[in-house]
Order: sequence, then structure tokens, then C-alpha cells
Amino acid sequence: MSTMSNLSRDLVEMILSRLPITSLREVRSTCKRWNDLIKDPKFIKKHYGQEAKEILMIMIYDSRACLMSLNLHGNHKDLVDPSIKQIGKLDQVKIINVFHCNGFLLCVTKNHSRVMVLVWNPYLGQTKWIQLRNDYHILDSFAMGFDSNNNNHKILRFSYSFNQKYEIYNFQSNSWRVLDIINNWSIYRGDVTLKGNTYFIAKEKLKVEEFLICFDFTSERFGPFLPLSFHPRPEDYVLLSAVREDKLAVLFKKHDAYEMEIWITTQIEPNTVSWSSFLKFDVRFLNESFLFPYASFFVEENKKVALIYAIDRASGTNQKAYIVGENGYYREVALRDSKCWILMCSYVPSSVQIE
Amino acid sequence: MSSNMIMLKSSDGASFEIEEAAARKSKIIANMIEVECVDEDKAIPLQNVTGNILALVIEYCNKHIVDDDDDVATEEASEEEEEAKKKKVDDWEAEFMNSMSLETMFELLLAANYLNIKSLIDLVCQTIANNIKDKTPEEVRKIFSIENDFTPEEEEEIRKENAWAFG
Repeated sequence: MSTMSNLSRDLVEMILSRLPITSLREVRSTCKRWNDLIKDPKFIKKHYGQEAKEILMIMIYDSRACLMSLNLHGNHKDLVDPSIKQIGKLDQVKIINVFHCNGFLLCVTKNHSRVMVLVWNPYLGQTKWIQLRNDYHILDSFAMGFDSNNNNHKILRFSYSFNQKYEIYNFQSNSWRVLDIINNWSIYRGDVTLKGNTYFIAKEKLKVEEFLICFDFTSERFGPFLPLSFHPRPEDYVLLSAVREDKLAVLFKKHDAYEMEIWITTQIEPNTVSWSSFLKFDVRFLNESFLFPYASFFVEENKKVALIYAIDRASGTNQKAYIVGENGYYREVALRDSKCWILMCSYVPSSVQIE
Repeated sequence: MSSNMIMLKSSDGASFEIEEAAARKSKIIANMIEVECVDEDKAIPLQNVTGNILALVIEYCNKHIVDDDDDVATEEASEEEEEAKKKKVDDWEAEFMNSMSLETMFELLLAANYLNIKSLIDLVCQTIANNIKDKTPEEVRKIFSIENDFTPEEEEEIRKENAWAFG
């Protein structure tokens, strides 16, 4: 008689890989063989890595994080019913903000009026609460990366105010340390973590020109100003986004122009960058109120399309998502359950354990 | 499309006649036809597949015989025709899988894997996955005759981790 135990590992893997990510809890609890398989880095890489059929994103709705899937079947000329749908939820804690690094979510959480930081690998169900040295301020922000010498994770805390101070948390020592960094520039917009380092848009004090800058988690220092392929001013519109986990995309729109452009890095390291033009498109299909939205974007490099996600600045609730492509292609994406989502970051599952 | 007929012989000695185009859905048989110049009068022995399972494989291959040769035709077919055709195949596949027990599914999967029929492997895997989805670990263990080999401590550890996994 044939049973599941007659099947080779490859066949069991083929079966389990067809389950939605939310069923993996039950799968892991079934038996050791299945638990080991689900946690196997090779399994994760194969089914959620470069070849993954869907793009995963984390969005926040009503202070809860949700796992969303963007489906782009077909090619850019003929996308069949592109949609964003919720495929999982993380409603264990109330979340104010979330950052992604290497399969970890760094969540700024709120319990009553107490703000805490939670580092979370939701694929493995591992968590670690991080105690802050002093009270959280509304202008505070965080970035997470890792030391390339020992893969040790670290958290950078900074403020979007003038006179930025920087603190770093080391997972090995479980403690915060104030960094001795004084800059004549400040982080202006941000932040995206790639290959363990975090990239920001920075601006020199009393000047208008903006640059890309990298915080190197190995040396615990900022790198040099890196050029963008355009010249943004404070009133313009610049957004960063990660392309899978190794390239950076930047979206740019001049405040008085109707053209948006997206560039992707061909090379990116803390002290060097080169860009290649990815898409240029006219945004007149957007309503006036969406032209300067609180927004996010994602790039699907192979299909030569980008997802632009916009929340109307005036109402703060009205939201739209569009797929844009070459030669003026655009298409509105069905937002299933038209709630007020805030799009936060792309997400790639990983088997990395929290130290 | 070739209408050559070839013979397949199951491990328990049953013989089946099948169109070559259908048999070519199996990469292994296609290879045998290419390399070994299969003798028209002689059946190809398939040592790992029993007659009842081979009958199912052949039923599947016959139904999907047109897929590969159809590329030219599909380009001209309208979108509605395409959709209608796809739905017909989907309905047939659902009915086909619905009629068999889990044990048969496992045997069919092993046969599809041995014969290297990618689309049939995909279909069976998806159907088995659908049988796992939305079930508790106890139910899954019972249906698939899987032994719970966790110690109470390991079970507690997994329970803790699952509390912080995607729901």
C-alpha cells in the first residue's frame, strides 16, 4: 500500500510547496520530516526566492500587519487580472511601523502607550523583543542590517529631526551603543535594506540637492554621498524600493512635471552605485489628488512593470494601485477588500534564526 | 500528429495499446522511442507501474494528447475559445482526480514521476496539497498515516513558534 512515507523527499517537497504560507503552521506540527523540510533553507530559496510565482509584501491595516500577494500573470502587454490580495495576517501585536531585512521584520509596536521594538521572523515564528534605551519619539526611525564579517544582525536608531544622533543595537551583546557620528547632512527620506546595509536619501544642511547614502552595518559608519541619476530638490518626489534583495530602485517625479521615472541599480555597494533607466511614464492618468501621494512602489524587473501604490493625500483614505509599463501602459489593480492599507515593504521569507 | 500505435506492458503483465503521440507525454517513453527504435510488435515494459495505475496514466495522456501539437492552432483561437477549452480540461482533471482514493493518488504520483510526466505530477501534487490544506495536524496524520514523532518538548516548542507565524 502506498502512503506519504513511500514518496521521495523531492515529491513530498513538491506537494508541500503547493500549500499557502498560512498552512505551514499545521504542516510543521505534523511530523519531524515535514517540519525539517519547511525550515530547510533550500526549500525556502527554491519556492520563495528568485523563481517565486508571486511577489510578497507587508501592508499595515488598522495597526495590524498583513501579508499580501501581488499576482502578475501574463506579460506587461497583456496582464491577466493583476491583483493584490491578502494571504496571511500577523495580528499578534499592534504595529506602527515595519522595516524588512533578510526575512526579518523590525516592527515598532504599541501596547497602550508603550512603544516597543520587535524583531520577527514570521516564517519561522521566531521573535525577540528589543528594549529601547530611552523613550520613543514620533520622529524616531529604525533600520536593520547585518555585519558581513559574522552575519550578526544590528539595528540602527536615528531621528528625522535636525542634529541627528545615531544608536546601534547589537544582537550579540544585546545592548545599545551611541555612535560617535556627526554629520553636516541629515537623513531626509529612507530607508531600504539591501545585502545587510541600509540606503537613505540624505540632504546637506542649508542645501537643496539630495544624495543617496548607505549606512554600512559592518563598519558602523555612513559611506560617501552616492549620486542619483537625477537632481531632486526637497519639493520633488523621491522614493526607494528594493528589487528582490539585491538591487535598489528609485522613483522620481519633479514637482511640476507629469513624468515619473524609475531607475534600477546595476551595481550597488556602500561606496559605489551605478544606475540604469528602467521606466519612464506619464502620470496624467492619476487624479490630481494622487499626484503627490503618500506612496510606495515595487518593481517587477522581468516583466518590465512597476506597481505604484498611492494614498490620496487630501483624504488620507482614498487609495489606488496601478501597474505601469513601457509605451504608456497602465492598468488599475484590483485592491481586494478596499480598506485603507498602508503599503510598507516587500517581504522575502528566510530561514535565518534570530540570534 | 502521428497516429502510430505502440504497446505498453505493466509490471503485472497487462498490455495497453496507446497512440504514440499520447505516450510521448512521458519523457521516458519518448526517449525510448527516440533512442531504442521501439519495435512495433513488442510492448515497452514498465516495471514500476501496475496495470490499474497505467490505465489511469493512459487515460490522462489521451486526454492531453493535443496540448503539445496545438501551438499553431491556439494562436488563432479566440480568447473565449481558449478559455472554454481550458475550463473543459480543468473540469475533466477535477473529475479525474475526484474519482480516486488517496492511495491511488500516491501510486499515480510515483508512476508519473517514474514516467516523467510533468503536468501529471503537478496535477497530483496539487490535489494532495488540497487534501492537506485547512486540516489540523491530527487530521492530516490520520488521512496520510503519518506517525507523530515529536517529543512533548518539541511539540511545545513548535506550538510556541506557530503562535508567531503567519495566520
